[in-house]
Amino acid sequence: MRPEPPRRPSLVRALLAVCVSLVGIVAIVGSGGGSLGFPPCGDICNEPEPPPTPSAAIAPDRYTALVGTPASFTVTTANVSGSLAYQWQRSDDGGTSYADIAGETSATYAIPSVNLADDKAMLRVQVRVNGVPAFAPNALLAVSAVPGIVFQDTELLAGDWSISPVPGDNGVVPMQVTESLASGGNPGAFRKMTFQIPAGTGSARVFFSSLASTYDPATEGAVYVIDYAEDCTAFQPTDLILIQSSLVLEQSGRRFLSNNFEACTGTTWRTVVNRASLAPADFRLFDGAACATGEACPDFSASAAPMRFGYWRIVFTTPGQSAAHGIDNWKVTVWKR
Amino acid sequence: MAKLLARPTSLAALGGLLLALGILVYLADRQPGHALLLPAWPRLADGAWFGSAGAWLPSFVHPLAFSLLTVAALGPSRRLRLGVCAAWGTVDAAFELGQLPKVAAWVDEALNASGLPKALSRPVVDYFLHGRFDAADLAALALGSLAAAAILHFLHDADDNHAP
Repeated sequence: MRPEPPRRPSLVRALLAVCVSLVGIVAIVGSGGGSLGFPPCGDICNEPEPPPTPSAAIAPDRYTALVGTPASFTVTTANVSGSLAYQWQRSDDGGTSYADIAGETSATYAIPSVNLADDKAMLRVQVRVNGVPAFAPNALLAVSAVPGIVFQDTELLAGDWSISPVPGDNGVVPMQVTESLASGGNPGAFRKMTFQIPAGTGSARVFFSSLASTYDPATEGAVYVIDYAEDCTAFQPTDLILIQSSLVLEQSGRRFLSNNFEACTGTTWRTVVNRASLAPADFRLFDGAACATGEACPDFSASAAPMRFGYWRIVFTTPGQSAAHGIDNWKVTVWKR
Repeated sequence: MAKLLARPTSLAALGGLLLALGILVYLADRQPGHALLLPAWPRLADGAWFGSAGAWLPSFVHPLAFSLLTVAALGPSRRLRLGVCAAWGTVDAAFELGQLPKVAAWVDEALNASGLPKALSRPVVDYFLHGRFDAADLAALALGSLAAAAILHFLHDADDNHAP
């Protein structure tokens, strides 16, 4: 075999090769990668990104505390530039009028030890940007004289729960698989759920009821407010999958959902639902007998029927597709006055 | 014959034909709108022109066709030939592995944080997030790269060996 003479590609050849390479890479991306198809690009690709919206929020925006314990609220701003100044205010008349809290001009307002006079206090912080009033987010404090009754499950074993998939609009019950896994949770054991979206629908809904988490107001006393928290993770990117979770309250054959539907995004564990001070007005009837006019629904009073707690998950994505997600550290706290 | 086929124009033509074969798979066997660069017209047939080969043929054809086209552009030095085939195999493999959910999520976050215009980053993110990783694709693209190296070796070394 002849030794190969050294040959260098000319500039033209090199440029040509670069062009071929770019076309090759564009062809890979443009192929879709074996996917079911690209979502339409639409205006998002052609229009400049809108400027991010400036905002301010207090965390937590609701908080339930036991008498004698501390409470702390912090305001954070996003997409705001300039010098910030704060003035915390308080309302004891349900937000009708606010008065400045003397000396409370930092981003955090802390009450070292709450008492019953602080119950139902609404807190507001006036945020000034460069001296101009810009935001006034508020928060609610609920105070109880007795410790909350906690129902929690960090193992979420199948035998401790009843599972009830909800038929879609077309009557088809979604397929779901629930597994109790010993590791990989936040931390340790957790529950993995896989929902398959039925054909002809865009979502799958499943109720999970904790068999041991029953509270009877008739024997244990009227409920003041309820706190709820859970950790969630998705097991695939959630760009085209929406997973939502909320607290379920069952009472007298009715199922109620807490109004806050928190989205479970990302593939790492996060406390996605952390709602405090839920009152009857924070629930809506999902199924069961319609609520009569003037009826407490759900009923938190001392004469109310027993209530059982759980959670529900709803997943929106393409029909036929499966979505896997997890739950850990499910916790309901029932507060009495 | 080998000498004729080894010419850059012949290599480019062969690469173009192979590329056309890959495109035909998308037009004939895949759902309309599947590929970003192809119009979402109805399929040419009932989705069974290529049978099961349609699943892996594009992955095989891509590194093969673009290796031939790149060598047609750069010239037939043996080192370049091998380098080009290896490079296309690596690029294709990287894009395939990028479709693994964890890698795709990382790419998604990285591209979103990069500040690239959406018109540029969105198709790439979509490719990784919505593409399906398949070990068969990985095998097919490796075979495609090897086939390109073998074809180029045959054409050029045959040319070298039979030169007077």
